[in-house]
Amino acid sequence: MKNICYFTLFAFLLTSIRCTSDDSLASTGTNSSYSSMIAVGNYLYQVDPTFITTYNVTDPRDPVEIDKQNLGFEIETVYHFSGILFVGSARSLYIFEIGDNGIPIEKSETSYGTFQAGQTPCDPVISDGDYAYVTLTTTTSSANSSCFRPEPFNKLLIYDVANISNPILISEREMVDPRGLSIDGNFLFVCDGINGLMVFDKSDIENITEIGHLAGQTTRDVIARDDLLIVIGEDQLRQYDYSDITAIVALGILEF
Amino acid sequence: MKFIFLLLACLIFVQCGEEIVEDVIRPGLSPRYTTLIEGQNISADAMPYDELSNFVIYGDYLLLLEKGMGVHIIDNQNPSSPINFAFIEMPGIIGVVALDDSMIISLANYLITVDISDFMNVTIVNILEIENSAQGLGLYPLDYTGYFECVDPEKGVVFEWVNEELTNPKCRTFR
Repeated sequence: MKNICYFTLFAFLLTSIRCTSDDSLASTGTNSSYSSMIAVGNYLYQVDPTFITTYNVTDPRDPVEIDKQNLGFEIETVYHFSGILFVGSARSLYIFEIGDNGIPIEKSETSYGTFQAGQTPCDPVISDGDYAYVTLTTTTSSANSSCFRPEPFNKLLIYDVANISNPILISEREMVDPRGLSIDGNFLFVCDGINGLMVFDKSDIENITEIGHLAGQTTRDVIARDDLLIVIGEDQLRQYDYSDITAIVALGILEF
Repeated sequence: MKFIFLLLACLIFVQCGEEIVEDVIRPGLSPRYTTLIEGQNISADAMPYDELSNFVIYGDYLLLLEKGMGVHIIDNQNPSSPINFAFIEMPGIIGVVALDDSMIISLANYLITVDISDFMNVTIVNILEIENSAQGLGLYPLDYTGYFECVDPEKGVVFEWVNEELTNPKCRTFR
């Protein structure tokens, strides 16, 4: 009987651990910052230029749409951290709290500011729960891209999101061509397009410090996880070991 | 008499001239249609890539999304020596997530689930049509002024517009 109780307790603990994880399914993939869809537990969140749509994907082979909200214009990316969705658009940062029923509840819309007429930079956004990190860029190799604008606007913005209903801009940093980004602990990795990849120490959040620059490549998006830094450019995949952040070691390159 | 003959000849010439209609070639946009169906195998050999958009870490694999083209499958068991392993063809692809043995893909106004338990044999298992999607490109190109090839809904759903020299285009958008 005692053994059965221990087994039951063990099984309960295991279940609890799974439920509190951000990505509750072990086999759920980890998306990089430029993603327009993200899976959180049994729900899938998809953004298109206008809407954020929620699907129940308990059975991934039979997704069921359960909610759709109109956000406006030029919605681009969605990121998840601990029950909060961060949606990047060309004009604003949107923050949603995921309700018990999986449906996102809008908590705030924070404008990036007033741009010149027709000036709508492209961006992704990520967060570590305390802060949201946004890149905005007007630099692009394609004149057909909606990001192309004659006046440059290329910045890394950091918002205090301790109160998700009222994000506060606490830092702006000029960049060359900022794109995708990723966080691991105190380190912030930012793809800077034609300028390569920038590594920042963000322990002093209002004065983040550049501690590394991987130049000589064009970068688009990145994931830093378990000391493995995975970076894509338009036509290549590069990986690095950053177990010693002061001496990042190049691993493999796959390019065409 | 001579005058009447000349007049008739001119009339005939003019009529003949009107019948010779030359094609008008104009630069414009042409629609590309998706014709995916459930049960379709969309695996392909590894392909070179040149416009990667974002990616997904999926166990020992990386799923690299090439917007509008498909997903490159990279065997990343050894990050020092990744292998470009396979390609999943999905023209018009916009977004992707991986869940268990499935990959869910957004494309135009569809959400498509594919079985990825075997990357060499990836099959479409479900196609969900999304109502009221801004990604459905509809009957005309958005944010565009000029000629375009009229959409034929019987050919499928439009997933992208490409620049092309159009012959006698009959559709046009105005600002």
